[in-house]
Amino acid sequence: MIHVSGLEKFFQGKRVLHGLNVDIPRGSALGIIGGSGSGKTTLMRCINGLLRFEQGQVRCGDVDLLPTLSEKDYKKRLQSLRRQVGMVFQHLYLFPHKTALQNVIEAPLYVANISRDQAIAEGERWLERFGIAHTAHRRPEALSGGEQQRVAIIRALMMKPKILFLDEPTSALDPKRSSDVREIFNEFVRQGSTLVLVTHSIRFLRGLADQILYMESGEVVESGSAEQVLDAPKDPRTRAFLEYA
Amino acid sequence: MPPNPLSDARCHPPPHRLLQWLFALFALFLSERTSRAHLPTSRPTSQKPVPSASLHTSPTSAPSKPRTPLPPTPHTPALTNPSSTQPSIQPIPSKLSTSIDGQLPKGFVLRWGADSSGGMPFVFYSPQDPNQLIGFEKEIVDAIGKVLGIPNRFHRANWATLVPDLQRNTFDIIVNGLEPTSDRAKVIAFSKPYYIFRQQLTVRKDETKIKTLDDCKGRLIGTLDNTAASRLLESKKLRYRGYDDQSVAYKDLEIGRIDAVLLDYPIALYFANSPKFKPAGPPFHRGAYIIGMRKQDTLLKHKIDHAIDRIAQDGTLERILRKWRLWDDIQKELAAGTAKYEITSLDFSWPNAFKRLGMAAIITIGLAFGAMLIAMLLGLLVALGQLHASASVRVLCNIYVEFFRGTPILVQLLFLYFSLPMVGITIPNWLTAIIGLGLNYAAYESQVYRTALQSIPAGQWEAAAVLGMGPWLTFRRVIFPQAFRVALPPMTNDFVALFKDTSVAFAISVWELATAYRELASASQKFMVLGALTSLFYLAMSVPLSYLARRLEARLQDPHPQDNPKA
Repeated sequence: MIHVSGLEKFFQGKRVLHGLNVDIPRGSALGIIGGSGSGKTTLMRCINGLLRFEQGQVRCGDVDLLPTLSEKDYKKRLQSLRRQVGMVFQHLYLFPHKTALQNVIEAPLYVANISRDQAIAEGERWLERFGIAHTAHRRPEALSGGEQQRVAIIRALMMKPKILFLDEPTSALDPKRSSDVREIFNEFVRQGSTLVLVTHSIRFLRGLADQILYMESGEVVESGSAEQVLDAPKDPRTRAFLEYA
Repeated sequence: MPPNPLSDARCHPPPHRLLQWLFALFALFLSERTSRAHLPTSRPTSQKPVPSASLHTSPTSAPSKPRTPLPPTPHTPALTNPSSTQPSIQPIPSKLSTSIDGQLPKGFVLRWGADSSGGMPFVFYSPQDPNQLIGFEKEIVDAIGKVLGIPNRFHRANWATLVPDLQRNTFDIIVNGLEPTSDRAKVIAFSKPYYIFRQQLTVRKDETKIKTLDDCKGRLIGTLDNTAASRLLESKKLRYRGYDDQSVAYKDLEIGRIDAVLLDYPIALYFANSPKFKPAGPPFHRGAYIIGMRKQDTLLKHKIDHAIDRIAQDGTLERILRKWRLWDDIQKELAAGTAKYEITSLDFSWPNAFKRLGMAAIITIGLAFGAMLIAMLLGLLVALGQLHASASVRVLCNIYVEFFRGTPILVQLLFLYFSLPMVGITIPNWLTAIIGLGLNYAAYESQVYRTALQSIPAGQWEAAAVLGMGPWLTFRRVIFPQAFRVALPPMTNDFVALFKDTSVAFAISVWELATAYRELASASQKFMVLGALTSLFYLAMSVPLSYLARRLEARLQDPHPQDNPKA
């Protein structure tokens, strides 16, 4: 579903991603771990088209992203990419002027063009399922961090993406909530969708991620199945990182 | 919510400040009323009723005391006749005007006030030498000074405020084509006339229909505000537009905004002196120019009247008027002392003043809303141009902003007013004012919107992008509503400012509130009460506006909007 090869990304002449290769099969979940500034988020943003890159190629869903594309062609490909992928940002970026319900039905109404009644019904069902039905008519500022995070996740899920990118999706959730959300993501993956998540929470990854990728300084240090990387890391750097996690 | 970076405390004046201000106004108003009530009782009943308005310039003086002469300044000792213990206005018998029963103080300099801008042929600076003051009135003052043996000094003043300036002791006499009116008679003393003028109707060269004033029914006539001409037009119920500047009136006649100009013959003689114009009939409807003085300066009046008689009789006046091509047979009456003229009056009544201010307020509202609409739409375009357009468009937008912010709005408005007809666009004055104000405020609005748009985090664009929302949809549904919330307080500020800036429209003769105030006040000399009333009109418009804006702001920021999920 996602195929990355030789990906290099520069920020102001400084190379921050050093020729990465990643493969994520359909219907699986990839967890990217690593310290701050290791390039996890940058990698994710390059894959889902928020950042252009200088070298290599990315295939995401059925869209090929290449550094050689013209701005116009790139934008055209992004349009079809956007219909397949969703994303939850670390800082959420909820629309502050809209209520929780308005936040989650905005794109279904104006991008997917479904009827208002159907969007509302669906939105309310999701809010219910995440245990935040009471927040429907509140604006984000009146929501707790955990509630905001769940609204952001619902906003992404409402567009029924085939691939979902999550950047620290559960940082503000307590263990019980966190576990509930993981169950929802598991179901999402079981239905054949693909999940890419960047997180510090090893605990959250267990029982969700099929593969783990450990990054340091823009390079992949170790990658493999979740059990292997988390329980028997080969590289001493991975081991050192996991000791603190 | 992050603190609103653009919110400005100044747009919410604390209520107590407003109350203080209102209270001060009210106190002024009251003091004016009490002084009026006290006046008659403090004076001998045999005297003529004392003008109430004369106290307007000295509201601090104790109302119950009889009037004392204005305190002398170092340069101008008190002019009140020292022998006269009654500081009142004794009508002076004409026989006395040739006798001199007192001496002007030693070192006295006759300070005279006039409006020299566009003052041809009265008082103006020579086009050849901008430092050289010339004009027939300048020469008359010199001749009077020569008769009295005193030097004179010119004070440049504003036509509309000549009378208050005189009362404030800025100068001692007004010599500026001043006509005796019953309103002015209440406040100041008049000298003998030094020129008998008549009205001249001027039309375009190709005009065939207008031969007399009566032919002007249904046409628009231009004149100066608060003049004998305007009062004549008013009394004849003819439609006219009152100008602040006669050259603008003739310019408008030339380009067809008005159909005729009615003004004093001396003005027409010099301003309509162009092959584009022709006189419609001979001059008619006589009036007189007199010198205005403070009522208590009885000795000075004496001296001035004496000097006018002298220069009228010894041929000096005739020589001056001939030189300026103003001499005609009527002027002989000046020397003979038989000059007859009418004291005109503007019918001032409070209901009428209220009505005129009310109508002007409606025009002000129209100007403000129209201009703000243009400013908002254009300002948004300019802001988007500055943020998202190509480099060349960005440069153009920057130039636009710098130009309109960096030059005075008055100049822009006049420029627009005169340049539009030259490219073949003739639109009404009020529309010119709306467009001019709109263009000006768009420059300011654009910067409000630019900063407001920039204050929205880039993450909002990304969040919308990953949901598949295109740039326009994102702008419309996500960015704009948030930016609007940020921009609302400074916008309210600007709107209130614009409300007041509509007063510059007087420059192109739009009858808005400030113009109405100027005209009514200068005609009636009720500067203070009318000023308070006008301020109340402004407040009655701007306070509800600020209130509504604050309500809207609160609603936009309510974290619990109990509405249905309408997006």
